[in-house]
Amino acid sequence: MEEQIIAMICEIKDDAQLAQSLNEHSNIMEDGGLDSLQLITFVLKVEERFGIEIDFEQFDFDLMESVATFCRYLSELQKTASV
Amino acid sequence: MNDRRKRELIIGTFDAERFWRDPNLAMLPSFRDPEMENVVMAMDELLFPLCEAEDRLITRYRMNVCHQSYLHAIGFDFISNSTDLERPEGGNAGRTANIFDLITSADRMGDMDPQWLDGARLSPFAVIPGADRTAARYGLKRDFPAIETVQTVNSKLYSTELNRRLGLRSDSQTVHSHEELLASGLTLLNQGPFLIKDEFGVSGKGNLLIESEAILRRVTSYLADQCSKGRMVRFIIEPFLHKELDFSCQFHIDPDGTYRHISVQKLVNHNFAYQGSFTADDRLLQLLQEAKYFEVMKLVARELYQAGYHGDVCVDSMLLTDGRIVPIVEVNARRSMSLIKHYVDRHLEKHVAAGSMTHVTVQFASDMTFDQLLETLDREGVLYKPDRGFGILPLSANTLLINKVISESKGIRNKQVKGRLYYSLVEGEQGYERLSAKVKEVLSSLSFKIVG
Repeated sequence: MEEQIIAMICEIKDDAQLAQSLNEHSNIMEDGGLDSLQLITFVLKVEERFGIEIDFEQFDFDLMESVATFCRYLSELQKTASV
Repeated sequence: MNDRRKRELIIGTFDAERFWRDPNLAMLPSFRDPEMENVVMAMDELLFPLCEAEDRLITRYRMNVCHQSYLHAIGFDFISNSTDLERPEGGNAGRTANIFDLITSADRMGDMDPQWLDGARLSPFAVIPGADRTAARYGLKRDFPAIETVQTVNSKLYSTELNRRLGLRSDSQTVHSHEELLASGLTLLNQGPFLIKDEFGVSGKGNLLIESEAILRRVTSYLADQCSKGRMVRFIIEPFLHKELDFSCQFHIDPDGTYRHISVQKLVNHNFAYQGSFTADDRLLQLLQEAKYFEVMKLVARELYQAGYHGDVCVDSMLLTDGRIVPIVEVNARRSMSLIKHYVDRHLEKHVAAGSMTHVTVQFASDMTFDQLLETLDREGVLYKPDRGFGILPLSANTLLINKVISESKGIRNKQVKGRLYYSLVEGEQGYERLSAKVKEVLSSLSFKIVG
């Protein structure tokens, strides 16, 4: 999942080289350099890819502190969605 | 050229569209970015190039003293308030109150001498609610159009309708419900990705690119939720066009309807967000002449005047990869970043220099002052000075440091914050790429991490 998330960030930033500098510890906003518009595109694509729904209003930006943290959050959402 | 009276009071709010938008309209999915909202609130300092001698600039937060001294030293002539209209950490209130609300509710205009105000002309960046109240309260002369007119002509619905009225090719359509958005969107998706545009969205916000049915359904269901709470749906949708270039035309409509061309600026955008303005080259100007683009701009001016508008206009346009020109993407019946750039260029021309306008978004935690930044840029030989003939001309300081100020006023030190530095890059004989890289190198050496 982490590799997929990194690939999606690179796709949105239109920067394939970015993948070399990102890893599970990377902050999605700061290291990925996503602005608020790119973030919404990213989240919509994440929803589509992983079959989940994220609450835009209640979204906690601390979940973006690392790729690993965000992936754990997505896994939780997937579990809830499948119940 | 401009029939300006002696004294103008220049005031602005850069997110004017927010104050024109009907709050009952449903919104596209978005995330708030409070730090960037603070940056936008500090952007009014960028209006100084519009000032001439004797003019005054009123900014929400007082301008940085070192920045102001630098600007004065290189020949910009203006006076601005030396106190804040609002405490920077009071930004939450500011998100609902525009600068005119602050001025009228505080019943004072910073430390402005009330006598000076008498007879001065109010010159707003954009006519938003409260501008007329401010003029009345302080006895300022005003010759701007009614707010309702300005609101109407700045709507993207107006731009869409204008294309039709002028017989220009337009693939835009307006949708009035989430069901209509879904049905029309599915049809458009058969041809390829399409854009959903908010009626009062600005570049970087309020546009959403739809590339798949799943995302379209997610967005329409999000809008359906808002409808169930009483919000109205009204968006413009259009096929995503492959652009070669974004550019804009600035012109002025005099109170008697006379059209005055100002400039054409090429805009470098990345993922819909503004990256910089560059003066149109001869090749582009010739292309526009041949396509009778400027005739269309005169027609736009005529239509705007007939609708009751006069003042500054910036029309966003596109050159597509297939060579087609889309003259009216969006009408901005207000002043603009490109107009500010034009005024900076006019200043530079006096020193036989020319510049392009851009910005960098940075993150930093250090206690760097603006004075230290200027000193370092100067020491490294890249701070613009007329005798140097090239370098970076910082156009803003508060936009860079505002979140640091807010964070420290809350007693939080060493917090990583976001800031944005707007500047004109005066190439001289250095070359754009080389100079731009050097500026970024200096910023990095000062612990500013460039994120955009």
